[in-house]
Amino acid sequence: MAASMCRRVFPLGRKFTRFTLQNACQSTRCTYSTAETSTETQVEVPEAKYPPIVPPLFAKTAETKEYRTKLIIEGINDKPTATEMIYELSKRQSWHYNIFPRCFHYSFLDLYKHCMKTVIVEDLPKQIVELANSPSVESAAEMLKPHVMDCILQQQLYVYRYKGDPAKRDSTAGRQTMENVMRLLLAGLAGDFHHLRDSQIDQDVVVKSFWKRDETKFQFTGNPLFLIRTKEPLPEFISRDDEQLCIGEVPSWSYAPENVSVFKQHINPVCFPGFKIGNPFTYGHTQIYMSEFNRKKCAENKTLEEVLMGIGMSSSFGWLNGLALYQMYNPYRDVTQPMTCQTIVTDGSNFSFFCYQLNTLGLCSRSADNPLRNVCWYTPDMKLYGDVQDGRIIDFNDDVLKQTIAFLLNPTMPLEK
Amino acid sequence: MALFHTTHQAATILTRCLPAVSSQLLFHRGYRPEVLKRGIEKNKQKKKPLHRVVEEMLGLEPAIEQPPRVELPNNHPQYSNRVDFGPENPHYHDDVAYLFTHDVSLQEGVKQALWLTKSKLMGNGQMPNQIQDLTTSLEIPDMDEKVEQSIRQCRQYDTVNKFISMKRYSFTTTMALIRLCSLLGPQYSDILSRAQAPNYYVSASWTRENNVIQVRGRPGMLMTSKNPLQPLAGLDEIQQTSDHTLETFYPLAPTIDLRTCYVYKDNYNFPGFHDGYPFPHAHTLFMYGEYDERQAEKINARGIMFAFANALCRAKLQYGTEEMDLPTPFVTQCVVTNGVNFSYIHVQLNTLQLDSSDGLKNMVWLDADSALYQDMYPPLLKIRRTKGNRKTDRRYIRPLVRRDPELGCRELDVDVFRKFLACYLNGAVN
Repeated sequence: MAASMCRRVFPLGRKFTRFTLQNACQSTRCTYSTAETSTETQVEVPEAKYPPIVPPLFAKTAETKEYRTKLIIEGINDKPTATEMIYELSKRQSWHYNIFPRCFHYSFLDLYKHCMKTVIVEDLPKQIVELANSPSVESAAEMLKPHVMDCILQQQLYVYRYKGDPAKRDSTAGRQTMENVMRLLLAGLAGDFHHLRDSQIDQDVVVKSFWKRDETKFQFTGNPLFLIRTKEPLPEFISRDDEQLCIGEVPSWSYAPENVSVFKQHINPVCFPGFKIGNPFTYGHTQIYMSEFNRKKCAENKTLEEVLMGIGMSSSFGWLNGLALYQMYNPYRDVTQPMTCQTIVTDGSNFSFFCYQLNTLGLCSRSADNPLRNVCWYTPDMKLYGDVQDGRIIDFNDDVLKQTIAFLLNPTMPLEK
Repeated sequence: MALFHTTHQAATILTRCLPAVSSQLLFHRGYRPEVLKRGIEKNKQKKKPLHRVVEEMLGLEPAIEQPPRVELPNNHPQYSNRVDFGPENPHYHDDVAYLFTHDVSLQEGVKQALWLTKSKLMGNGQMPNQIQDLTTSLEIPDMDEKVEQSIRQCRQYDTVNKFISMKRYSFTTTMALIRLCSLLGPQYSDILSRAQAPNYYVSASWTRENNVIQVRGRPGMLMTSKNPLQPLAGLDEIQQTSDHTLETFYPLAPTIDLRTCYVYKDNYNFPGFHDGYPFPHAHTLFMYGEYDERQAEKINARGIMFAFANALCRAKLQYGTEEMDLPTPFVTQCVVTNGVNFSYIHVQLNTLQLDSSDGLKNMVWLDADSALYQDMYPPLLKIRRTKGNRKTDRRYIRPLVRRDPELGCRELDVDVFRKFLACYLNGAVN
């Protein structure tokens, strides 16, 4: 009302305001005293603390993008249980490259090495080699050898099978041989060694896990014949500070994985290392994979060794990665201690042995400066026996049996509290 | 050719004798078959080339030679496995044989299996005394805890899916319990001289009151051993069985529900392994599968039949096909399970004189359906309204079932595992 009256008295354009003018007049009036008081005391004013300046959440800048991912990662790492953490990681569908243990494409191994950031070393680690030559393993092998030979003879000679596809028949024979041999080894050894006595064994389960490498996501799916899980972890094979093996780079793969027949799918990734969350046997000890493919064809193509290496390496990494996720580690929170497992790849007569040490899970582009890499030791293919002739096994290889027993007898390390 | 100026004309003349049917109607379903046939023939006539029409009308020889029509066989002899089941088959018999396979369920259950195997049921639903002694004496360190952990793994943690099928957990439970039993390997080293044969084949044949009876098939996993099992009943008890009369179920024939076949091999006994097998004796047959309480008796009967077949085929291969009383009885065991309920069957084969119902009988001990743990529990039901009308639609109320978090551990009965352990270690303990 007052403003309109004022306007009537002093006509001025509508666009101009008078308030600033009035305020200026008031300030000149000076209604309060400006003289200094004599009783002044110096009050220490605390320095002002402001909340950190955060970039706006929905802007389209690099800063905001970084901030948003940081929030997401914090959200993942703050989850109290493994179930919630894995749900948080896998709730969103996205493109995942399916990794299976077996791949027959030429030079697929470079992709596998890159996506798991693994270096492959020939020969097994020192401890295992020493253990395989120790007297306890030798005595056990001596005790079990005749029984193992009988079981092999049973499957190869005496069991009546359907005449069908010979490849299928061989693979079932190998599978059943391995089941028999494992039953024998466990019956002979499990009672005396506490880590085997307090272990759990899964037969014919599915193993699944997922990870991220340089913004590319991968989903592993494997089907092992046996998984041996323990309550205590295996000791590390070498120290993580080892500069020769554990620190360094792996050859990069700058091509599309489709080039080596690894294809992608739009899925929710699944993490399942042979058991659901809640089972107390959470550490991997040994796993056995059947190599049910045409070895002859692979040998003709000169890819047999690569294929076997691919099976051993990918299955070990996939399993350990799943176990690490269950222990609340994830790509953004690296493992505090290296995790290890042992893998046997066999078709009943040919055996390849693998030891794997998972040094790091930080494979994605956020941890690009991570110097660590994972290590996989392997032995090339070895024959358990030469041939079966006239109802007898020829050229039985004791070293393979010893190596298998050494894997089983590798003692676990007590948990640090 | 001068008779017909155009093809059109020829066609009209040829089809004039037929009743008029619109060819479009042929596409309709439900046309009367004779009319349909007529229509199809008419269409065929229409499609014929003119020279063929003329040749057929005048009875001339074909100007253009037709290639002979060859009927192609739909299967290749190299890849076909079909067998002639008629009288041309070399194994054809005029008399019928009664066949028992894995998918035959006997109407009268255990009683019928006892008649077919000429056996007497012993032990009043208990295991034999020797095995009962083993149940009390054998012990694994931390047994209760280990059994519980194994069952939890099989029932709760095993697969990616929320619900684990009975087919899966019956298999895994059996294997886990076998692994627990083998923890006693260092003490009783005889369990090393065994082998397991999953999905093995067995067949045995005998005659019973002039009926040829055969058991064939792949019942489950067989544990074979190098040493035979000791007899479960002494000579006195064996002699006493001759007083026993077998139960019949008149008016039903005792061979009811068995499959009849005319093509079979005479006296075909095959234990599933070729000659020279290092583990010649059948120790235990593990039959795991998917069944409920209503089918339990039939599955137990199946267990008796196959355990008996394991013993009989070995006896017949050793002593020939003559009818005689055995000098040393053959003993085998069978464990039938669906993961929760366990039945323990022990069979002692005393005689091969199976044709007549008089004389010595064989023996069967059956400890049926002892539950390892309680699987039935009050499920948490939440009634939830779903799509549809309450009055018209049954989907209106849907129960929401939650699984028991203590699944597999309610009222855990370790005595059932003790029986399993005793069966497994029978023969290894001196």
